[in-house]
Order: sequence, then structure tokens, then C-alpha cells
Amino acid sequence: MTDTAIDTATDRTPLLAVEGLKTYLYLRRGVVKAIDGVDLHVHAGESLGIIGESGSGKTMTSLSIMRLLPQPGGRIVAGSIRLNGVDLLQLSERDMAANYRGRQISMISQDPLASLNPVFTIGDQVGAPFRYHGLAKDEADIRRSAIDVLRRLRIPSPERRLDDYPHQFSGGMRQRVVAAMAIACSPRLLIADEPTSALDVTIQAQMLDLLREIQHSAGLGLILITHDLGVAASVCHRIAVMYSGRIVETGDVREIYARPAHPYTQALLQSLPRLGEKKRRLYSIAGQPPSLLDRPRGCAFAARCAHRMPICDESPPPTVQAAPGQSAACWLLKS
Amino acid sequence: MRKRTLIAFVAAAVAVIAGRYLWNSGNTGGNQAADSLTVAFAGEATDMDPTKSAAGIDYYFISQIFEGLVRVDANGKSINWLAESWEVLEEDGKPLIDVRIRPNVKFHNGDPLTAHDFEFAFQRQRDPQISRWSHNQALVERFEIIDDLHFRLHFSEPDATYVADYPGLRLWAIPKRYFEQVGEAGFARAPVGTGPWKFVSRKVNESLQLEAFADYWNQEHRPHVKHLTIRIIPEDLTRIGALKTGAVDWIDAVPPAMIKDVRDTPGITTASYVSPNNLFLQFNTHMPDSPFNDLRVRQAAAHAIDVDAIIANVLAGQGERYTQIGRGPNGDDPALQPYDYDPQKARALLREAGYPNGFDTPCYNLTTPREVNVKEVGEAMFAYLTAVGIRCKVVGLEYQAWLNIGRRGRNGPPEMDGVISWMWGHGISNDPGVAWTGYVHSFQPGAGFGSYSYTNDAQLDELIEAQRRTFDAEERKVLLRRIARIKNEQLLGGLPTYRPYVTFAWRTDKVSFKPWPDAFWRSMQEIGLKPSAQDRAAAE
Amino acid sequence: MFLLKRILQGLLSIVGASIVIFVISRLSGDPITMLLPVEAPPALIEQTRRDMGLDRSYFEQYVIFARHAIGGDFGQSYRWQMPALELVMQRLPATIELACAALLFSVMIAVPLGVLSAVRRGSWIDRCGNVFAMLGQAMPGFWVGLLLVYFFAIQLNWLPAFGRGTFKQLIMPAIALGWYPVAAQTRVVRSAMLDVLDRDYIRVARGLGVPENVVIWKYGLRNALVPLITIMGVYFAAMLGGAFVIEVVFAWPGLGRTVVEAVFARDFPVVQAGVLITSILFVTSNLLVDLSYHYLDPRIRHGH
Repeated sequence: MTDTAIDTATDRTPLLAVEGLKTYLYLRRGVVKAIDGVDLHVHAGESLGIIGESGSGKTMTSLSIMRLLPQPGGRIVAGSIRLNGVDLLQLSERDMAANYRGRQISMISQDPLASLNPVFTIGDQVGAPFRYHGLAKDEADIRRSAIDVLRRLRIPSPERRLDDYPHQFSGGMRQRVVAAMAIACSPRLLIADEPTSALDVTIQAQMLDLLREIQHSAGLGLILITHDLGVAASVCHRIAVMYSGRIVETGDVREIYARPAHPYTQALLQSLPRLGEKKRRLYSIAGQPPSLLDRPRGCAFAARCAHRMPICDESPPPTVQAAPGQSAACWLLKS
Repeated sequence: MRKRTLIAFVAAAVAVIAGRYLWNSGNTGGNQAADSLTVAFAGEATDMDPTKSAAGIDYYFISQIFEGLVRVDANGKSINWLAESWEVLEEDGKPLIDVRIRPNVKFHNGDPLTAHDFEFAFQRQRDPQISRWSHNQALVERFEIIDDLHFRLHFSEPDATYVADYPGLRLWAIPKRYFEQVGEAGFARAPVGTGPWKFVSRKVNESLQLEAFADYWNQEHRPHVKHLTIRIIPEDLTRIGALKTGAVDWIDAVPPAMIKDVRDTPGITTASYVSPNNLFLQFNTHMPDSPFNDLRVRQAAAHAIDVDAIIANVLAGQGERYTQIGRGPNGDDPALQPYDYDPQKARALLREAGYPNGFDTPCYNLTTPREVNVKEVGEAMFAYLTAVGIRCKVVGLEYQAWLNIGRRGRNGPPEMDGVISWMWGHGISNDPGVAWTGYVHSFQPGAGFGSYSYTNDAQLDELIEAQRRTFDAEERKVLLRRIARIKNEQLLGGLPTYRPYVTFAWRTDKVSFKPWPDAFWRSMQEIGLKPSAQDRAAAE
Repeated sequence: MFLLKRILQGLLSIVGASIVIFVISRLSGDPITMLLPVEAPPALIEQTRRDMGLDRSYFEQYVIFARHAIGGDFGQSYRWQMPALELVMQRLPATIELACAALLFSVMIAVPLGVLSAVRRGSWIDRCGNVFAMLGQAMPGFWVGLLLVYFFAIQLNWLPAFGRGTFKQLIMPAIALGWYPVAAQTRVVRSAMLDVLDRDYIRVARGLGVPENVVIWKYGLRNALVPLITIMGVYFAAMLGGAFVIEVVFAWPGLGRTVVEAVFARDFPVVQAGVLITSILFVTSNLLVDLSYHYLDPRIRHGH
């Protein structure tokens, strides 16, 4: 749990504001509406968790923000993504690469070994952001900067390890290296996509500590994407729950966990096993999310919802405020 | 660190290769130098020591550098060359050849030509460990030196082929003193002879550089250009391309398919000569059950093949029909007629012989192109045979296997049990004596007769042995004609088909070329730079 | 240690090859009938056979051969009257030069074409590249060689038709010889790049703002090199031994022609020497490829 109260009043301009984002994948078998109208925002120094099961669109969200959609076929068809007021979707690709990616916004992925290029030294890879964003004068300077950032990430003897290769590091160290690459140029926004899923439980805690520390010391905005409610609880200030390409609930993490407003969120929380609870069977939500190729007209969760109403099948529910700082997209709240 | 050493290594390699090219860029060939010509041959001589060589192709190089006592000129006439005069005499009932050497002949290194040089050559040529032709000296029992320019060859028995074969009187002029100085390996590397061309250098598989011998003895027939480069270009298109673009000035072996194109190219002269190689079909007449033992079957085969059509279509006219010997002196009989193309008659003859439905027979074909299109010609001939009922099962053989099957006296199969397409050069001078000893005379391994023969005719054997003993040219001619007549009537020793042409091409304005028959017409005895070209070259 | 083992393996292959060739060439036919003129009497043939030691058992012949070979003496060529090894070594530089040039040519085309085909998968570049590669495999080298001679030497007179010595003379033979490997190498590069470009680390590199061409040509291509080097090694070894037709078309004085002609002429010493040199080249080339893996992929270097 975070211990710093962050002012999330809506009159402060957010670091990142996503409005009406729609990302579609044009495949041979049809159009996959991976993200179908998503609004979210993150403030500097704040961490937003995006929770959802696989296929909900959470990774697509991060790829959309970075504009690294899978090609061919991926396209952002509507919406705006404003970083400090600048709409990233209006920028040229060159501008995006030179000035934003790795510089203002960075991403950490799930598998640290796969994220590192096996045939280049980590000196080369950690030095890359400095080199390609023109932040160093010469080779020696690049090396120094790389050593610096590795030291910041608590990697021991960074000078000697610059010439080592990724496979010569342990799993936990690798994730730190990946994090080092991401924060090398002090970005404003960091997106961490399932940063702990590939790690052992013992190292997960270290990783989460590291993320909190980075955010605290750099004051950057953090988007943490995860399917693990516990992880979100320990790092995030706010969370957004995604289902089938849409955000179904947003709000302060403690509030949502205590009083979830959306049936899906409720079901998610219910399915968490709790210590001391005696149950014969774990609760799981019946049914499957709808295919993203052929989404229903109304609420995507309707088919599995215990509180299903006729109107749920007819039109998509509007986002309604459930409590101060908490909103959900559900017909139940409308009534 | 590692990367840097790799880059250094690559840079060094590139520098070495580039350096090599820059250094070599001056040496693009002899064409650039004034007063020089470049010719291109399709095949390459392997050996340049005349006492050691065995293949006809070796004479492509040898004939430029070395000479013999007697030679055949462009008209087919045998003339004295290094011999000033010679005659056949007798002593104690045994024949001898008395030879007087032309005076004032020099070797390329300045040494004078003497009888000692010929004796030296004789000793090497009769030694089976050195020479592949040692059997040719078998009947010479003694070499007698009378003085520096006079010697005698004493025979144990008469051997007329000694005179008729190439080179005439079978002895090469080899410089004894030089050879003993440099040894065999040294001689092979830098040969010295009396010929019109002096050896300069050689790159195996690439080129031979020659320089005209300033002190050459024959001032009437000699080259008129100072430097000659012989390049080897085996691929036809490339060789013709080299001529067309001026990279070379003279080429041999223009293939029949391209003759018209080359002839029509402006500025190029072509000339065709009959190559002294006789092609024929041999029949299995040495096995008791063979259908070819019957004369009528052989006659049927002779009438079945339209040789003229084959020459016209498969060889594009680049061949000449011959009856037994071929156009030229030494026994050719223009009165002898070849068998005419008459498939009806062929079938009738087969029926008469007891094969109304024909019969099956293996037909062995040479696939290696020792002569142009020899494989295709063979296939065409076998097709004609099949058409009248001599049903050929064609077996293609490459050179070595073909030689193997043709040879008698091996210790096992396969036997030549049908028809085989064969060839035997009757020498530069069209002399059939040596050839017939090999493929017409009955097989007698001890005496060295009939190594490739399937014939067993006592009368022919006697005549062949007689012609070998007859030094007198006129008498010999009578014998040769008798043999030819019997061969033709009885179709013994095979069915003659054709002699191939070889076509050369050269730049009209640059090259003057007078052909000499040696080395299958590749002799550069009288090649020269045309005066106009010489002036141009001198002016540069 | 690894190096030593590989060298020993290589030596074993070379010795094995020499034995096999020794036996096969003697089984293939008789050099004597080809060396002596057609009318040579049988007695002379047998005498020559004895003088050349070809009447002994294969085993005996091999022992004699091996004893001399270790001292560097492969005997005299039956045809050329010079030491067989010297003849073969004379031709070696020409063969290596042609093979290297052909390989360089093929790589210079295959790498950019393969990378572009992968990066712009499905585009016209990709499809053109595919057609080009197919043509490469469908058109035999000698035909390409003849076409080149016809157009560039005869018709246009831009390049010399034959011979060796200047850079201009190297161009057409290198293209004709390198033509066929282009197809296979392009495919390998393309498929390796497609695999690489799908990887997370490429996305991460992009995500760090690395310019796209650096992502592809530095971070991407480097990972595709191992399969490329492997196939280059295969073709290089083939080119070292088998450029015979190209050598004939362009009158290139290389090893291929010499050995093939020696086989036809049953010139055993030259065949033996030629095969030995070729197998050494082959083994060395394979060894270099193996060593290159060490250099190219640090995971192999550290024994993973």
C-alpha cells in the first residue's frame, strides 16, 4: 500500500490523458476491436494500475500509448493520447522515436530475458538510450552514464559488468537492467507491463520495491499493468479495471477493493482466495469474455453478469460516478 | 577489441587483394604489345617434351617449338625439312635409312644441330620408361653416326611406317647438350628446339608465350610477327566472343552451329580444313554368333546409313565423306565408291541373310566430344540402322570406358559385342599403314598387331605386313590400294563414315595465316601481322 | 580443447576421403590405355603398368602413396609431367579467389534483399525478391555464365570474356558462380529476420527510441547471422570444389577444371592431390564456421 497521499483532484492537469482511445487490429479473419473507447489519466508521481484478464486489452493500451502496435494490421482509429498536453497521435514517427520513446515515455515488459538482446553487451543496450537521444558527448560519456544508471538500480560492480551479456545475469538482475534501460533518460511516464509475472515470488517483492522507489525518487507517472490484484494493491494509487477492450471501473485502489461498484470487479474480488477462509471450491466467474471480433451490442459483461437486465444487452452502459473519485460503467448505477 | 581485430583482418585482406589487382592490371595479355598476336585454342597440350608426349593435342604446342627431319606441306606433299636429303639403302640384306642433316641449323639457345642430337632423341624415344611411342623404334636396331651432319638408321626389318608417320623419319631434334645441362625437369619447364617459335613462358591451363626465333633456318617459310601468345579457352561461346571483341586475333575449332555467324561477322575470315582423323563403325566380327559375320549384314548396314545427310544436318556440312583412306596421297583411290544410301536394299539384304525381322544389337557410342558432335553423329547413325531392322540398343560411353571396350586382349568383360563408333587418325600424311595394323590386322598380342581389331582375314594380314616392309613409295601405294579395295568390298575393318572439318577464324585486317597441316592445322609456322597492322603498331 | 577436437575430426575426414578416392579412381578405369597411344602393343601396356606401380594391390599402392604423401610427394601427374601437388597448388589461389568473390557477391545481394523482404513482408519488394531468388535456383550457373558472356562481352564489350588477372575479369565469373547461392541465402536471411523481428528485444529497442534502421540493421541483423554464416559455409565449401563449369566457360585457371579433367584422364596423382587439397579446404571452411559461432553468439561462447 502506498503511504503518500497524492492529490488526485481533477483540476490538476494530468501527465497523461487518454480520451476515447480506439485501437483496432485489422487481421485477415476480421477486425479485432482490441480497445473500444477507453478514457484514463495519470498524474506525475502517481501510479495507475490497469487490471484485467488476458485479452482485456491492457497490453494493447500500453502499446497504443507507445505507438508500438503490432504490424501489419494494428491501427489507432480514434481518440487522443496527451502527454503534458501534446497529442502523441499527431506526431510523426520520427518525432515519436527521437523525442518521446525512451525519453519521455518508457516501457518495461514481462520477460526480462526476452527483452534483452542476447548478442549485445548490456553496456551497449543500456547505453543505447543515451546514444540515440543525444544525451552523451562521446563513447566514454555513454559508458559513464550507463554505469550511473546501473548503480542507481543497485546492480553491483557495474563497471565490470558493462561488458557482460544478458545470459550472464540472474533473473532478478536482468529485470533491473531492463528497468535501467527504461529510466536511463529520466522519462516522465513509465509503463510496466506485468513486471513481476516472470519472476519468482521472492524476487517479485524486490521488483515492486524497486518500482516504488523509482517512482518516488524520479517523481514519474507509473502505469502498472497486471492481472494480479495483490500487486496492484501494493504499488498503485488508483486502478482501472478493463474488460473486453473497455474500462469498466476506475478509482482509488483502497476504495475499489473495499466497495467495488461494477459486477465484474465484484466478481474478481470474490474470486481471490483469502487466508483463513475455508471453501470447498474457488469461486470463478462463469462463462468467457466475448470474442473481440464480434462484440455484443450492449454491455460486454452482460452474458456473465448476475444482475443482467434487458437494457444491458441493448446498449453499452455509460460511465457513471459511483462515489467521489470512483466511477463505473454499469446500468445498475444509472437507475 | 575483438571487433577491432576483425576489422583489421578484413582490411588487410582487402588491401592484399586490391594490391594484387593493381599490380597485375598491366598484364592483360600479349595483345597490348606491338608486333604481337594472340591466338586461342580450345584444348591444351599437357606435355611439351616431344619424346614424352603421347596425345595428338600435345603437338599443338610441340609443333611450334620442335621439328623433325621430314614434313608434309600444305599441299600434302612430303618435303625434306631438317633433313637435307635421305635415302633407303641396304646392307647385309637389311635395310637402312641414310640421312644427311641440313647444315647451319641452330637451336633456340644457339647450339648447332648435329647428328648427336638425333641420336640422343633416338635413345630417349626407344626407351619405354621415357617414351610412349617406344614401339615405333622397335625395328631400328642401331643408330650410326658418320659425322656431325650424317647418320644412318639400321633396321632389323623393313618398316615403311617409319617414313610415312608423323613426324617423318620419326625423330625429333632435341638439343643434347642443353638437355644434359638442365635435366629432364628443367627441359620440361623451358624447352628448347629448332622450330620457328622460341619458348618464353607458360601458365598451365592459361597461356603459352612464344617469341619468333630470330636465327630460324627457314627464311622462306617463317612467322612474320615477333610475339605470339597462345591462350586456352575451352568454352566455344567465350572463345568466339574473345575473337569478336578483339581480345584474341585467331581462334581454332569454330563449332558448326556458329560458323555462319562467325563467317558473317565483318572483319573476320574463316577457313575450314579436313582434320586427319577418320571415323568409322566397327562391327563384331570376332564372335562366332554375331550376325555381322555375314557379309550381307555388313552390306545392309552400309546401305542403311545416309552419311551425306548426317554430314549436312548434324555437322552443318563440316565433314567429308571418305571411302577408305581419305583425300590425299598415300594410297587413296578415287575409283573406290562408297556404299550408297538404299534402305530398301538394306532390308532386302537382311532378309536374305535370314533376318526378316531384323535383330537387336548393342551399339556403343562415344559421348566425350573428341570430335565435334561425335555423340550426335553416332546417335544418328544408330538411328538409321534401327530404321532398317538392325535395332540398336545405344550405350553411351565416356572416353576412357570407350577405349576400354574397344581394346582386345583384356582379361575380362565387357566385350565389344555389337557395333561401335570408332576413330583412328591416319596421320597427318593420310597414311593408313599404322592405323590398319591396329584395327584391321588380326589380333596378335605378341606381335603388337590388331589391338583394336575384330577382323581375322589372312589375306589382309599378309598385305598389311607386306606394306609395312615396302619402303618403295610406288610399290607401297599399290599394296595400300589393294588392301583398300578388299576392305571396301568385304567391309572388313569396319564401315568408313566421314572425316571432320576443323574451322579457324581470324581478324582479316590484322592476321595473315598460311596453314600447315601439322598438329591438326594448328601449326603457327607462317602466321604474321599484316603490313598495315604492323605499321599501325609501329606508329604507336 | 574444442579446437583440438575439431582439428582431429577434420584430419580423420581428410584421410578417409583420400582412401575412398584412391580406391574409387582405380576402380573407375585404366589410365594406361589413355596415356599410351592407341596402337601401343599390349606388351608395352603391361610394362608401363608395372613401371607405374599400378599392377600391385590397392592396399600396397595406398601404403606407398601415403608414405610419399606425408613427405609432400604426391607423385608425378601422368599427363602433365610435373609434380601433382605443385600443379594443384598452382591452381589453388585462382579457385579461392573466385570462391571468395562469388561469396561476397552473393552475400552483398542476399543480405539487403533478405532483410528488406522481411521488414517489408508481403510488399512488392518481398515478392520481387522471391521471384529473383526462384530464378536464381532455376537458372544453372553455366547458363548464367554464357548469358553474361553473350551480353556483356560480345554484344556490349563492357567486360572481358575470359581469363584471370584483372578485376574486370573477375566480375562475370563471380556473378555466375554466386548466382545460385543468392536464392538460398536470401531465404535464410529473410526467415531468420522474420523470426528476430518478432522478438521482444526488438520491440524493447524500438520502445527506447532507437531509430528504426538501427533496430533492424544493428540489433536485428546481428541475431540472424548465425543461420546465415552456416549456409554461407556450405556454399563456400561447394564453390571451392565445384566451380568446374564456370571455370570452363570463363577459361578460369582454377582447381575444378584441373581435377575434373584429371578424373576423365584417370590421372590418379592429380586426382588424389586435388581431392586432398579440396577436403582440407572443406574442413577448414567448416571449422571457421564453427569458430564464428563462438564469436557471433556469446551464449555459445560461454557454454550455454
